[in-house]
Amino acid sequence: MNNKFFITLCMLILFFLLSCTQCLYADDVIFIMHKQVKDPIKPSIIKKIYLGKVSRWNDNQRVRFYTFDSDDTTETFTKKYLSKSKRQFNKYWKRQVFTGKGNIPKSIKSVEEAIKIVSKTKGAIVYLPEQKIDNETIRIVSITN
Amino acid sequence: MNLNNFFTGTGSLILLLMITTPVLSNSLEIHGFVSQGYLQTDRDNYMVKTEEGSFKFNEIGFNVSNDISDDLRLGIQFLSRSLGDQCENATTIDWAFADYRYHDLLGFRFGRIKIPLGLYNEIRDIDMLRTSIFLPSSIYSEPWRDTMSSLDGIGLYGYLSLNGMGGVSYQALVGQMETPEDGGVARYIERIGTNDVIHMEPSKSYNASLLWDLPIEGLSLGSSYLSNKMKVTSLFGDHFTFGDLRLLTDMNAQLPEMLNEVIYNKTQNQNMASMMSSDFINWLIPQNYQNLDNEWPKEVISDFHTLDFWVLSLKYQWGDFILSAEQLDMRMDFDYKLGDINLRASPQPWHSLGYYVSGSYTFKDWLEFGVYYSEFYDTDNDKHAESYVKKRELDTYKYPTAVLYAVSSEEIRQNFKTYANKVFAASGKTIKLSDDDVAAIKLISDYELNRIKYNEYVGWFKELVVSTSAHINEQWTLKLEGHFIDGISLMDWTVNNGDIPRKRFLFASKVTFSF
Repeated sequence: MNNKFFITLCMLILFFLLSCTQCLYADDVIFIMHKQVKDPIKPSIIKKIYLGKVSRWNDNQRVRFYTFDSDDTTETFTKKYLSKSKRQFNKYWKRQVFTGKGNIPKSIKSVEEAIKIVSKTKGAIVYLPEQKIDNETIRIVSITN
Repeated sequence: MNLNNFFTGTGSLILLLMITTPVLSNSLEIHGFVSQGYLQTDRDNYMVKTEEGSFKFNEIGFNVSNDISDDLRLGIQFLSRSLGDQCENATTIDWAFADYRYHDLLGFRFGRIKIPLGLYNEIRDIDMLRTSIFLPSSIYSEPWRDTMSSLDGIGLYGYLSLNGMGGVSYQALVGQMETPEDGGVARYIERIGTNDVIHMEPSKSYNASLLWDLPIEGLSLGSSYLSNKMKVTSLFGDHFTFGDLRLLTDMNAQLPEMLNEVIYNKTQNQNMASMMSSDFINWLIPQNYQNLDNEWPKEVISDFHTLDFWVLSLKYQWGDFILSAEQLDMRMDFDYKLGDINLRASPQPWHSLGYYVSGSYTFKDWLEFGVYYSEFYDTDNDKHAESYVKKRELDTYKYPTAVLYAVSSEEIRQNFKTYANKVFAASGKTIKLSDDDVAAIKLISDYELNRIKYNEYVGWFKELVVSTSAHINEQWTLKLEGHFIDGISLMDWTVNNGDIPRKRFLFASKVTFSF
């Protein structure tokens, strides 16, 4: 390799570094879950659930976790609670899929659909963009660090 | 396992259950990937005929899985791949197992299961999950891939939360690996033994893996172990390495007649000639070699009673930056037997060592850069192949058969003269064999001489690899990669009489579609 190649490569890397702007995402998320889920909800539990390490609630009910179909909300969630980017989270689950160890979590498209699914599905949990929800058919948890 | 074998086994049951259970549960999942690569080297070939560029580098995977119940899951993945003349797009079962998760602490798997060895062995077929196209060859040898990726057996797994100390994921497997006679492992054995493998019979393999996510965010430490045993039957030809053996069998076959002739010419006594020639052979050739004729090739059995791999791993993820480092410790010990003769010259365990450090960074959501440096040493206590380099200075190593026959033939003549004359003297006969009498005793080799140029770089394989991966969208990935390679130990360095260039540059590119 000659000098011209190295200079071009360095300029290319610099270009990409400079073009990496800090994206702004939603501040936080809330969690909604089936009413019968009584477990205390902590960031460490959320992480274990969404990485498939924990599959049952304390009452032995199967955990059914969903993702919310919004890039911003998911990025906020994965960065804050899983210390991963959305892409890294997706890769993590693709790894499970292609080694036979799990399925990619199902995604829910809207808040209304989330409330409907979670209220009907035992053990269900999903994160949503931070907002006020007034609904007695589900349990709502907001984790503040 | 080929498809015919598979469908007669447990795989057919898994497939049948998966096809029928969608009626019962609505969780049938289908995923897959298709990738096409291109490889080119600046000189010489690397795995494929890369000197002129090669597209014989692809992978196609397709999997189906189904949650039968909350605890039971079934799945199967078919894989077809090509890397030069390796695999050649034969469709195989990559994995197929039933997974019963009794508890988060304990689950069971039955069937064909991916082997957790190091951080990436389980995903070595799925390159879209990493930045680089090829994994570091010091740990993840490409020729061994078809055998090392999965085993047929049972396993357990689980996750233990250590509260303030993080958590540990663990797996343990026992079963048998697939060892095709035309696969990469067979080729490796052929290289170290210079023979043709005709049958491989693996015993049970044991595998254990542990990954500890430390309380420091993003930091994980791992240790994994794979222990194997196998017997390999191969055809052993008239190669230079075994010149001594070849000489002995030639002597066994050729000498009695020649000695007989010399004595008979002098004494005109057939009985005495036969007796003395056979006595001399008994004195000269060890008993266990006397049953060997000089018909080649012969079957030999390599009994690998130790074939162990131990990998230590470290991974640290800090935001978009991922650092990985691993070390492989491979120990191999085997007997190499022709009948009851152990042909292995130095029965010491063979110890290979490999390690790498890699870093990758996601600049943009769609763009990653990665770099790794990897070193592999074929023999840990002879990293620079000094033993080979010393040997190449010796004429007996450069021209082994020629030297052996020239020296031995003269020694045999003189020994026989002394031996025969002693027998004559002891029996009161006045007959004496002269140099002229025994000059006719010659051993005739009927095979070509081998000349090998051993260089110190046959002992190592080092590579610096720079990769970039562009995720065009959720389904499409394009990768470009450059390998600066130094050394040839992971290549077949016996070709071209061992005279392979030390350094080469490999360019690799790959496009992958997944769903």
